[in-house]
Amino acid sequence: MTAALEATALTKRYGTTPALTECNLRIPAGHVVALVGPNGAGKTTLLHLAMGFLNPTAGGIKVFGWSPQAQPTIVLPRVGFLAQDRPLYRRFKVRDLLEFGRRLNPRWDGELARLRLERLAIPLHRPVGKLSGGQEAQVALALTLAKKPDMLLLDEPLSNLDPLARREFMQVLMDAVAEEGLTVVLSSHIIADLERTCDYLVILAHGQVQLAGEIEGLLDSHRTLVGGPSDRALLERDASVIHSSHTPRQTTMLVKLNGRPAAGQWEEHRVGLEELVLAYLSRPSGDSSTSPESVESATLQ
Amino acid sequence: MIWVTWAQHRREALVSGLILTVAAALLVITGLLMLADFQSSGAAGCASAGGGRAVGVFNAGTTCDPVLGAFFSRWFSLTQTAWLALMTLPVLLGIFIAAPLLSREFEQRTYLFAWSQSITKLRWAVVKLGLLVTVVVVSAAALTVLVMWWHSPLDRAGYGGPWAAFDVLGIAPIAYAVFALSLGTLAGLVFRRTIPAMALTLFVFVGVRILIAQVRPHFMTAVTGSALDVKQGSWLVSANYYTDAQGHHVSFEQVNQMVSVYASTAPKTFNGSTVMDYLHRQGISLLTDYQPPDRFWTFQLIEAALFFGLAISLIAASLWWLQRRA
Repeated sequence: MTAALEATALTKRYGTTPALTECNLRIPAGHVVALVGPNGAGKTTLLHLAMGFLNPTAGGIKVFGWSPQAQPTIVLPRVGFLAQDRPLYRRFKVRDLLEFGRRLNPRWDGELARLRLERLAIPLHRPVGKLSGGQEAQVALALTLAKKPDMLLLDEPLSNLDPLARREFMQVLMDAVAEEGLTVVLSSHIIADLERTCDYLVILAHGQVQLAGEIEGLLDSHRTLVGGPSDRALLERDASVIHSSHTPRQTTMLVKLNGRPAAGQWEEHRVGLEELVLAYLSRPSGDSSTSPESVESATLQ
Repeated sequence: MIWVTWAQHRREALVSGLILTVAAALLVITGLLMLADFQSSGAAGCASAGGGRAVGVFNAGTTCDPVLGAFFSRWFSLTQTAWLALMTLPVLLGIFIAAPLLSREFEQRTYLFAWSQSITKLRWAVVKLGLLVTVVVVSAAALTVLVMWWHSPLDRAGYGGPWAAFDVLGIAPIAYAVFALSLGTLAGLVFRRTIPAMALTLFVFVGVRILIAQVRPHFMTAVTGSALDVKQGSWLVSANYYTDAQGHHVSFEQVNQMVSVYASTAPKTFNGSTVMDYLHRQGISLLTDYQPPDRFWTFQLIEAALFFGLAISLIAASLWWLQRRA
């Protein structure tokens, strides 16, 4: 099956500053994906490459099998994109933005957008600049959904929103996902935002994918182990250590199991999503002992 | 996309339209006043009588000269003001319309919203730019036709011919406007910030205009002829100078010496015209280099071709930048 998003040795440099370095990633269609990484990890660059806003320095990116750079007229109608801080023409009335969308998108469903906004009591005759932050975000989301995309790319969609607006935003988004079976990629540097809604995780750091896979499988294949400091050597056969911390009396490690349970003298705990993400993000740059391929095989065990 | 561009820029369009309307109204009013004065003061009659008359030298004394002179001086300051205003219009267009056209979208990050629709970024830029070029060419052409009508009494009265108003007549102003807007657009696209884009547009536009104005006298080899009978409406591109029978330059000091020698030998008959005859017998001629009036439109074409050429290169560079470098 064609991947919704596939990057092959994708590299992007701004001048001499690398943003993505030989990045490999394959996201199957139908998932709600959390794209997680610290600021400057390359999340926005990856999404802009997927929309064809940028050209790769090397390597390639495909969206539903098409190149966003070479075939933008095929890719653009199929992908809804919400940029960071949800920029809109602030002088435009909401109604004018709907007209804007109608004229520039072949698959446009303006009626749906209008209904959604009316349900949220957002006045269509008001200029966007005079709406509240939460309403503005809802307008941006409604416009993106009205494009009738097969995939949504949302870049930090919840930034600068208050908790109530965040919840409403996610509510509308998840309703739409449930109705229309969209693939969604949400980028964030805060995993807590995404924990309840996403079923697929991509961790991006230092311009490379550190981990990618279905969240359930990832949680199954990782463990926190607690034991005495001398037991470490025994473990290396059975698992890869992602992160470890030591005190004189005990070692705590987050490990990826290599297909069999860890040896018995360790106290074993299941990991939480946030714990998993933090363990991968705290690895030093250049340590990609866990290549995406091996990650995928781990998740499919 | 056309509706979209209009919806987005209607405020700028309305302000520009208002400025142009006021400018056109002023031109019509002052033009009618000038035309009435041209007829009633008798300058019109003089102009048609004196067509083809030599300019400049030893031609005073006709009754028409004071009439025409008075007509020019009455309209001099208005003419200067109008030229200055018309000459700044293209650079204003570059700074306030073209430079922010794309840079403001980058600054406010709304380009991301526009590019997230189903049109390519190339088409987004081409429609915006194409629409602007069309509107500018049409309004610049209309304004220039009006300016040429406005300027025609001055032309007919022989006010240095149309050469003196080269920058505001003909097709050159249209080319300046298109150059200014392509320059502003590229600057906005490369800097992605409005203020630096505006500054660059101002400096490059003024610089290129000055540079080409320096080169303009040499677009075609100037005609060399006697300074005493240059045809009216010519553009003098050099000061007067003397040559001897072999065509070598003779300095004013040498000529002065010859004149004083002649003055001492023939003091009785010494006057302006005998001196000229004497110098002529010695093979000395007073010459000047000039571009004759019938070259005006050729020069306009060359000037316009240069600026249209620059504009096309800048637009091509903009689209390349957007597609490859962005």
